[in-house]
Amino acid sequence: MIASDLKTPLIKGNKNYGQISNELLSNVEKKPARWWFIAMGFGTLMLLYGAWAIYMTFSKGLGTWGINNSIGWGWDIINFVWWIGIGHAGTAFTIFFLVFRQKWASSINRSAEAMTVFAVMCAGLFPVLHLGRPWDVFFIFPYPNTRLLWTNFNSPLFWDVLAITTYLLMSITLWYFGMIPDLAAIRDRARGKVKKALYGFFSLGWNGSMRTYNRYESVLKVLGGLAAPLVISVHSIVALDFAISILPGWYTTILPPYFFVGAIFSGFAMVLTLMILIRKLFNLTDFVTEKHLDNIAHVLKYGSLIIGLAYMTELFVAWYSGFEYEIHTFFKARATGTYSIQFWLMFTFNAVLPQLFWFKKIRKNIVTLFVISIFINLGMWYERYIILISSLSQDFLPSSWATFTPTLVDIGIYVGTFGLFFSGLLLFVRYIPIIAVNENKPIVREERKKTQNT
Amino acid sequence: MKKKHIIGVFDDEAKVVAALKKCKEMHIPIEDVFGPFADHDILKQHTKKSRIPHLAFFFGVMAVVLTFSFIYFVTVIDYPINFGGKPYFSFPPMVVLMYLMTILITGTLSSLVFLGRTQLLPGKQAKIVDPRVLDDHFVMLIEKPDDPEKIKELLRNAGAKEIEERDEE
Amino acid sequence: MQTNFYPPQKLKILAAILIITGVAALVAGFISDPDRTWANILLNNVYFLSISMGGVMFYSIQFITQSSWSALFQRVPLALGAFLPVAAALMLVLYFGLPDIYEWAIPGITETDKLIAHKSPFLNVPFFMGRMVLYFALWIAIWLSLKKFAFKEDRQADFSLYQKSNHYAIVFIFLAVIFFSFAGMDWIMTIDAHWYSTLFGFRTMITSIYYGVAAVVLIVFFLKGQGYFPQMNEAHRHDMARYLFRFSIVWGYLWFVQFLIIWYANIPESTIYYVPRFLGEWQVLFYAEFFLNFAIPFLVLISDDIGRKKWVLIFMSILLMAGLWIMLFIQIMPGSYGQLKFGFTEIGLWLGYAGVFIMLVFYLLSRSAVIPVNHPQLKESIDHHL
Repeated sequence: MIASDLKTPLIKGNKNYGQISNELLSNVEKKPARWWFIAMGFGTLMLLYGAWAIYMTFSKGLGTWGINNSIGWGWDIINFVWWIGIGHAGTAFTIFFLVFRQKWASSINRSAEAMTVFAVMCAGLFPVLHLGRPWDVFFIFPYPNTRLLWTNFNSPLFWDVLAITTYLLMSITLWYFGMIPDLAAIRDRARGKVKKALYGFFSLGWNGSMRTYNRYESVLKVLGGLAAPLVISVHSIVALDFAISILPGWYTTILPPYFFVGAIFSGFAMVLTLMILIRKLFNLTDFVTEKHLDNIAHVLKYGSLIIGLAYMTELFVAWYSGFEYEIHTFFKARATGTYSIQFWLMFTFNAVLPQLFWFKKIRKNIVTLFVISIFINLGMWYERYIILISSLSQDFLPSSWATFTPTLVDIGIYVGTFGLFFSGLLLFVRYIPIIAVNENKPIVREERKKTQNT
Repeated sequence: MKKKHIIGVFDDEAKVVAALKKCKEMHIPIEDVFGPFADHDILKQHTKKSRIPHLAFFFGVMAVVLTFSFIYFVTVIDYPINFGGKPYFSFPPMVVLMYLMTILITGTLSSLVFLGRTQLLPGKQAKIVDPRVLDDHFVMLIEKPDDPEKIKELLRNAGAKEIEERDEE
Repeated sequence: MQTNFYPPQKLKILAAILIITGVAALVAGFISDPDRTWANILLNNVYFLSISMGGVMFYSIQFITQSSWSALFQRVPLALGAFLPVAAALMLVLYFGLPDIYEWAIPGITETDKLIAHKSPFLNVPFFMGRMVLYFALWIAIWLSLKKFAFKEDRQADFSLYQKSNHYAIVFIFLAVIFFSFAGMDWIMTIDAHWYSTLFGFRTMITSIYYGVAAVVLIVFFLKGQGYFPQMNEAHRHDMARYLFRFSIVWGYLWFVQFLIIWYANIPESTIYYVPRFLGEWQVLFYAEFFLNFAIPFLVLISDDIGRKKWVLIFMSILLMAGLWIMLFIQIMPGSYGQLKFGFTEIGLWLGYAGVFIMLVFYLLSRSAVIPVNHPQLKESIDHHL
């Protein structure tokens, strides 16, 4: 948010409402380009790899994974936390728009929400997959049962189930409610009978009534207001999975806010990666302008600052505590020992590289934006790797120290989640307007008023 | 003669606001306004504040009470189990659960109330008053007025693009 | 539109009375119980410094987020920084009382206490004081620049001054986030020298914005009562209420998360911190802290309509001023003085500091325009409506 852009328009090209409808609904109304089918092919291949890996996991058991007695949580939980983190961006954008009134978020929040829905779906697979007896997964639900047992309500693992279910439900609701007026617009413009019927079904009879809009705005405000505390709590509860243990490197009071900031950070990085591609492929550069990308880069810069501070604080307090196991985990295992490569990669990609965004040249260049955003997500993956593997592999008893090597099944499940994520997004960009038409029309009007007044 | 509905089609929301103000002065009840987005000036003129937020607060309080009661019942009365040395009545975990359940219940029930009040249901046939209403035009619908000519005059003065009389559907 | 602030005579007299009370409490305190007085000096230093830092951080955030709603009264949070140089001096004076507050500063403690001996490369008097000097030098330097650009802008409209303020605001946030977190750890966490919490510094830093906003609210309403800011309307009050509401959630979250993790893992080295505070004689204050800082503001401000009312905002802000004191009291006292005592020393010293703070802030407000007359977003701020 450079001061000189106080007057830069959020939507370029001085469009009127009709133009906005035409341009923003074009991805639904036109036939998809060839690259879409190729990408869908790749997505499907990845899904197939994942399906095989899941089949192996369920039929042969967790022995097909790289986990062992010491490192009971491997790629499963690393990827679980990674995907949940990425999912936070959508809700963050919705909150930015609905709660903080940051108008620039409106051209991005629907894609970001789509990203959230699919990311949370990916994350939600892991708690089921990593069970020793996945057929008993229903044990987690507190219903009156013949075992005469309740679940452990004191456990963050249970809170996780509740938090992620709530998060998935709320994200889908916010995402879906936001698109109802747009689906109705497509219904009215649709020529084919099937298309009209389908969009008609999902647009719930929306007819542009202002009375309805009144309640609509009200419920969106309520849901947006709820989404803010929800998004903080979801990743905090995931952090509590680790923080309430006594393991050095896991037991630390900063973990919940640290995870939360990290989630916003990695989510925004993924949004940046995707929006750079989407705006080019779908000709949306008038709506997702350089200013939008610039704003995201600024958020990433500050996120990186806080993550860097958290790393320094953890390292410092580990020494300060005088607790020899804590000192070993941070200074022997992580910073200088077995896991030093991953540690310093994590540090560089998360706390150092995004600081390049202080420089205007780097922020303006699409290639550097894209490359750094990918490195950020890689860095965040390494962060979860460091937290999990280094603490588990070298805990209190040296005789139980072990190392972790991922198997093809581990990798397969991860690739499969990528398949799910990208296939889902590809379906999104084909069947649903990428940018909220009804949210962006008033922005054009606001901007016109502003330029008239000054 | 059967009374007909009058609709006025506008291409600028500011004109709609002006027309609404005029109608309010002359005590003409507007059935509804239709448009491609929620214009705040129109909403201010035409609608009352929704009570959904008040209901949401009530749902939240209810959720807190219900969750607390349920967890207390389960962990203290029904089947107290010693989990890691924690007391049977452990308030900190209850806080987390009450927090999550509040969000879940408030969100779900508010959404259902919204859908119910606005009668938005899957597969419902939309009553479209004019196909351009979701694109770039605004439409005012006045149902069965007593004095159609006066209304048409008013709409014309406010700058309506088209004015039409229509039979009830 | 009245743009220059002239402090009313009554205000000057009030400040004088407060300062005299403070001096009396200080002298009486040192005569009767120096340990207790030193602990209170630390408490008040951190109290008013938090409000200062919080205010200037709020000012910086408005630039970074290009928020226009607050432009109308932006001089107020900037003016809160006026206490920074005095805060520096008062903190440096603590040098003479370090052994009375901090266990690790007692000469010879490293012979008997192995853990403190381990920490002594960091927890030693020269390094501690050196860090203190560094923190203040950095914060004051940037604040002075921000003040300079703001005053210059009042005299002559110049967009480059807004841009300069923007850049320095970013630097200030950088310095505040990193160094105020470390300052929180340095000055408060090390009182309980055998305890640690990685969240502590972050919490001190973030919650200071909460209290900074509360102080801004109080001062803005005072000035409005004197006839300034006539254009402040319901929409501004709405945003103030929203800020306080959201920060109450942040406060509650950070407070709860630290407690939950320590409670759950039940590791004695960590739970010892909460034994006197949650289970011992400080229990009443522990709950008071929770209610004043979180429960009451959250429940009252959850409703937009209630939050927008002037008296609700004022009352909540006053509550928060008390809440900050209780929070710091519980953080500082059990480990330093060790006894729960509330009397003339506590009240008098706080009043004295308040007098100094009021004097400095209002003096700064009178030095230049109280409304940023040439701010690029001033018109937007005045036009701000619901």
